[in-house]
Amino acid sequence: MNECSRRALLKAGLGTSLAGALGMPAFFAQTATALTDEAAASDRILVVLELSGGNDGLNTLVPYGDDAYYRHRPTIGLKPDRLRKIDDRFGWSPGMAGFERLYKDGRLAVVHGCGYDTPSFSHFSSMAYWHTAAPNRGEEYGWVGRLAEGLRPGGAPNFVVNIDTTQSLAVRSRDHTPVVFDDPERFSRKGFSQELPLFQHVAEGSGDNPAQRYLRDIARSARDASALVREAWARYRSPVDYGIVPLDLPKVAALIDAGLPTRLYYAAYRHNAFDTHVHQGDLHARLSPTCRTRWRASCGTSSGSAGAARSC
Amino acid sequence: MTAGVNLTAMVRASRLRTTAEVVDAFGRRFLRVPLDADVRARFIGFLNGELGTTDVAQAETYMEDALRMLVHLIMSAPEYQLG
Repeated sequence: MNECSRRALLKAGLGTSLAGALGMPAFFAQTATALTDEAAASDRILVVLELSGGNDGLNTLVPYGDDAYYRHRPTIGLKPDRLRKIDDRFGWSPGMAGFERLYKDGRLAVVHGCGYDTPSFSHFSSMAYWHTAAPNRGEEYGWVGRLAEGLRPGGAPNFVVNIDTTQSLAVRSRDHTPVVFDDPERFSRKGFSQELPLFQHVAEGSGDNPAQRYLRDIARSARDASALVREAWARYRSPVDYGIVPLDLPKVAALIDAGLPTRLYYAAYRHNAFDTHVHQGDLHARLSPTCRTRWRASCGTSSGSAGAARSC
Repeated sequence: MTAGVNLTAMVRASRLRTTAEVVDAFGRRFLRVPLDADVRARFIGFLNGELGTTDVAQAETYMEDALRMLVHLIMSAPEYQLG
């Protein structure tokens, strides 16, 4: 992700007043005032892979040059001689050879140490804060959803895709209806064969009130998008090995390959995999390489896409 | 295993005589707003095709499966979420 795109992202996703109101670092306030037109005119694609559960950023890119890290992590802190150092302060955790290569190739940027004052210790509140980028605000829409509104005001079909079993708050938008699916092959209405032709028409009608019109728009969007997704997935072929657990990145690659107008993709590790309270060291060490393997595979196949992974 | 709902009995108890009356009655029962005219016509056509008749009395012994599919279709309509 280049600097301009990131600035536009931050502006649209966080908003100028929000960044200031939250007392966020000056970096956010400054970037919030940067250009959005450049990003809006661009055909670049943003793919977000959420390390759901809350990745331990400090043990991902370790600030080994900071004594405070070892003072506060006498047990789980990673020793300097085990790290893949990138400078005299930071080093990747031992298993992240893939990310190290991407970084050295200039294809990876890291925003380290993101947070806010007096963080919530509630998992649910914390998730909502991260998904909205609006701590203690009760924000209704997600940061990706608001970004979509900034990039394409008024909404556009299939502009945002969220691959998961349920829609993330992160993609919730006032103007955009995200396409949400899990298994592309099962992304369709289920019923007896006699019923299937009628499913094509259940969303017909102009609607007599705004609620009806809204629901019919949603139904039409789902019907049309599901056909595109199924076709894209059926046609997609890739020589890339995404590993035993490919996450959802091949699905993203399939939709990009099919030329969907989607500009924002959002996927996540399932089952809050990065909620690594127990046996943190070993578990996190196993998860991190799986992340970089899939991400490298995805980067290798989806030219034109850019990636962002929270705290990673 | 099917749920313990007898749609045939509902039709019988409501004294519905035609497939159009069945679609209208089920629409009133399961939806807060009237069915769109085109969708209503398609549902009636579906029921006619499944039963082979517009006369409910003639299909009383075998119409349960068709009625269940009709209810599924009604519940698949966007308007069902208004309930």
